[in-house]
Formats: sequence, structure tokens, C-alpha cells
Amino acid sequence: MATIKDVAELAGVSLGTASRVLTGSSSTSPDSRARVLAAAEELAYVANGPARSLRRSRTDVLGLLVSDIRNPFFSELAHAAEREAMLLGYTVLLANANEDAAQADEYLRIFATQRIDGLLLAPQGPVTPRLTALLASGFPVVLLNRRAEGVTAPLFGTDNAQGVGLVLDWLQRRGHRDVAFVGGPAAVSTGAERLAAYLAGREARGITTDDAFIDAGDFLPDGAAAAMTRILDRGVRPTAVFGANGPTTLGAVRALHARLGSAEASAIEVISFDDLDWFEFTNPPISAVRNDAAAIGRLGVIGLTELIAGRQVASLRVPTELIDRSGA
Amino acid sequence: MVTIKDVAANAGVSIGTASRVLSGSEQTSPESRRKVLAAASSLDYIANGPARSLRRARTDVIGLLLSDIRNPFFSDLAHAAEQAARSAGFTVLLANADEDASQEQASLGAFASQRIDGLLIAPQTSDNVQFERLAATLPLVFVDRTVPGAHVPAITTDNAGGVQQALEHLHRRGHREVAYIGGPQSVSSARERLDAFLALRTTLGLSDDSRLVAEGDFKTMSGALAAQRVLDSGARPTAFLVADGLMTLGVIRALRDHPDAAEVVSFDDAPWFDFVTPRVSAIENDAAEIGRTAVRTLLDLISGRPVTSSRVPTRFINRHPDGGTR
Repeated sequence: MATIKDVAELAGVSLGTASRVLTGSSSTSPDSRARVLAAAEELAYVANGPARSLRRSRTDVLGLLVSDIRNPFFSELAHAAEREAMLLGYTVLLANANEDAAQADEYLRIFATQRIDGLLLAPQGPVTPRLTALLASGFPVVLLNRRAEGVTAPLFGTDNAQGVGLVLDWLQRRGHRDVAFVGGPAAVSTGAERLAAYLAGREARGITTDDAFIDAGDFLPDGAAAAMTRILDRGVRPTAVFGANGPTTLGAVRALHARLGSAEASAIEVISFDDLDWFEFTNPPISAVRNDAAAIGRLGVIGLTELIAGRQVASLRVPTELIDRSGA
Repeated sequence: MVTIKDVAANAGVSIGTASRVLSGSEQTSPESRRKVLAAASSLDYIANGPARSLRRARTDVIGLLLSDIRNPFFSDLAHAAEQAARSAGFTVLLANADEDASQEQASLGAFASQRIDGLLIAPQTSDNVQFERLAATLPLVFVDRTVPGAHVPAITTDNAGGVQQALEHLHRRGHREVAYIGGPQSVSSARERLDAFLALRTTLGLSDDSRLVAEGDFKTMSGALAAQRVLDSGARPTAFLVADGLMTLGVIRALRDHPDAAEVVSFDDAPWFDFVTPRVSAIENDAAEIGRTAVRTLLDLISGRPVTSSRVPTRFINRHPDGGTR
């Protein structure tokens, strides 16, 4: 792991200068500031070593880095995590990656320089040097809902294969063949796992294997609306649409209404991975697999506090349940 | 500098008790709580010294204490604040008060233990002394809500203007029996919206039946319960004006069992209002603009520039295809 000496050497400045820059002192020149920060970046140096501050003093503050604060799955998860943390004597500070890997990495840096006892993390795609450095420092981290390649930290997440299986069974029961699948980014494990489960199970349920019916967004409404629009623009007309998370379903529904008009859009059944509180009021109502965000948040906090206490923690997948609003 | 020891001695309690009171723990007696707070106040004690960390170093991190993370108004506000902060080279750490004063205290304590350059907060309480004290130690800006008597810049919504747009719409559509589901009166935005409703319904000649008004807590369930109270009271509203988006969801739920479904207007727009029955018109409360303006104001404050409070205008979204009359 890189030390401040390495940073000073690479930047070509004295140890004192590197220290002043990295502690945020303003009595440094812009030039040395730029060089030190660039060197720290290159070496994935973690300033103000969280491991050190951990040994120095407990703050009873946990960090929680969510993927998208506007996604009710994550706000529900954060809320539950917070309640559990309160019961255990901790407060939670949150940060939002906004489904953006660069922003997630920036927050890892910020959390590493803050005084937190541990981190709950929904990783945003591939593992970065910064995440590797943080994990290597022995800092307590648990993953929420999303895996990261090669990271062995305990994971508390949804059982995606089981949830997609419930959706596929529902589609089969409803007699759908021409099903559009609007997925999430392949770089995010939930996006990849939900797509893989869908592809593996569709044929056995009599669902079309025509890939014109499949597209992916970015797990945000606008990206999903664009994906849904691309599917419709290929000239195919689904009788049902499966949205791979809540914001994706919102975007898909918006695109159906915009492209086809409300009457035609209302003839298409929609099912979502993630239940949202307004699904019961649409025409027709939207069915969903309920992804238990609250349980994941609670388990994540319990797991993290166990890690902080130096105990072993095992990963856990939380099952989903089907909320069938088709009236059948 | 005054330490917690001085506060404990002055209050005549143990350091542990003083610490528990000052960190907002509930395991303290009202008596010791009163003594410790009086001592802290008379000694000008600064708990968990954010001022100290502020003087130590700039971190380019700001805090945002939200009222309710599950309320889309606040998650939209947080998202916009974050984007604005990022483009200015700052990052934002969030905490959630969950519309709860004691959780607000815990979150303030957490921020105090961190390294932040300034704080945006949607306050839960009307404790102007506490916020004045905090503002003396850390650049502070209120978002969405304000506290009377606290000299803290506030970036809020034009609550009166928004209620006026909604009531004029309902009046034009022929409604005279308009129910109002308000928010908690401890919160300035809820007070301003209720005051505007009560003043305008008189001006517009709407029914002043007191059974038409009920109060919730800005969360979903309370909206359903408050609407049910109005319906059970014997009042016969033909329209509901609801003081936030979450309570609107609750009101829609409560109205589902009433086939003569009343028209609903929400203070807060939601993307799904387009797709549900009944259509919900909305006062668009521009969370994103409030978030951006608040960040600009806080960064000005951090840089020592003069700042002012401001109100962000609302926009009315009429989702009735026939627009005019019922």
C-alpha cells in the first residue's frame, strides 16, 4: 500500500509539503498541490488512513454509498439501514453515485478521508484501484446488492435468479410470448444477473428468443425510455414488458405512452423487478417482484457492525416475492 | 475554550451525563437535560466542535441533512445539489432526519464528527437558538424550510404562490368544497401552505367548513388517514389539495373506495402522475432549482461572499385534458 513517502517522492516534493497538501492545508502552492494530488491519485493513496483513524478513535458513523438516491429501492434500503444503525448506536452518512462509476470512485476517496467506522457499498461496475486499496487496508466494507469482480467482502443482496424466475413464471401464466426485456448495464452485477436469468429461462416458458425484443438502459428512467423506444423502433410490438429495476420500468412505461399513445400502451402488461408504490394505480396495474430493500439494508448494517467488531461475516441473498396485480 | 468538563461542573452533573445530553441521547432525565443545556448555553459551549475541524482544513466536502430520504422531493433536491457541487469541485455527504427531531440531532452529531466545509439543512424543529449557534461555527444554509428568528439564509419554495395557482385552478373548475391535507405545523413550509390555503379560500369564496382541513406528517400513511378523517367527518369535498407528494399517494389510496372520486392536486409533482387514475394535477415544486441555488449560496458563504435568502417559483401542471370547467 502506498505511503505518503511514496507520494512525496513521485511528486518530487518534500514530505512536509505532501503532508500539507494531503491534509488540505491552504499554505501550499497551486503547483505542488497539483503534483501531490496527481501522485496520490496515481498511487491510489488513501489520505488520512481510515484504518489509522479507526484505531485512533471510533466515530460511530457508518458510510453508505448508494447507486442512485432517486431510486426508491436505494432510498428504502438507506432508510432501513439507518434505523438499524440507530438501534446499534451508529449514525449513517450517505453518498450517491448516481449510477456513475467515476462519481462512485470519487466518493470512495471522500469516505476514505472522513472519519467513519465502516462502509456499506453498492459497487458501480468494475473494481477500481481505489476500491482495491481501501479493501487492502483492512477497512471494514460490506457490499450491498451488487457484486464486484474479485472482491471477497460479504455481500447482502437480492436473489436475482429467483426473482427473474418468478417473473418468467408469471409471463408464462399470462400467456405472453412477445415479451420486451428492458435491462440494466451489463457492468453492474444486478444488470448482468437479471439478464442472464432471463435469457436462460425464457425459451422453456414459451417466450420469444428474438433478441429484437431485448435492449438495455442505465437503470435510470431516461436511459430505459431510450432502450424501450429502440425496441419499438425495430417494428416489434410486445404484449408484455419486463423492466429490470424500478426506474427502468418508469422509463419504459413513459416510452410506451409517448410512442404508442395511452390507449395502445394500456393494452400492454408491465412487470417490474422492484415494486413501486404507484404501480397499483396505473391502467392496467403493474405487477412486480418485490425486492426486499429494507431487509438488505438491515442485514448490511448488522454485517458491517460484526465486521467492525472483528467477527466473520457470511454473504446472504434475500429472496423476492411476486406481487401479482393482473387480477388473474 | 470551554470544554465538556466545564459544562458538567457548571450543571452539577457527571461528564457522562453532560456528554449524553449534548450528543442528543435520550437516556437522560428532563432535569439533567435542562441543567446541561442551560450550562452549555451560558458558557457558549460548542459541541463536537465543527468549528475546530473547519479551521483545520478545507475538505471540499459539504453536508446535506434531508428531512426524508424516501420523499422524492428531497432525493431530487439531493441529486441536483450534488451535481451542482461536483461542477464546483465539491462533494456532498447526506444524512436523513426522517422527519424526526431526535434523528436530526443524531445526524448533526455525525456531521460534527466529520470534516465538512458547510452544511445544507432542511430543519425539523423551530429551535432558532440551536441553529444560530450552529451557524456561528459552520457555514449553514436552510433548504425548503426555515426557522423564524434564526439568521440563516434559506432557499425555499414560493409556497403561497403555489397554493394560489392550485386553488385558482380548482375554483375555475367549479369546485367550492375543497379539502386540504396539510403537513406538520412545526415545519415552516407546512405552515405557509396552510396559511395560504385558509386566506385564499376566503378570497375565492370557497367553503370555510373546518371539517375540510386535516393535518398529516408529510408521509404517505398520514395522507390516507387524514383524507379518511375528512371523508368520515360528514364533509363532502369535491376536490383535495394535498401539501406534499407522499401524502398525495395516501390520499389517492383513501379515495379509491369512493367512486365519486374527488379531483386531486398535489404540492409536488411526480413522474407517475401521468399514468395513474385519477389524473393528479400538481404544483411543481422545483426541488432541483432549490438544490442548485442552495449549493451556490453555501459555497458563497464558505468563500465569505454576501448571500441572501431566496424563493424559487412553482409551476402549475394541469393534467385535466379538458382544462377549464368540469
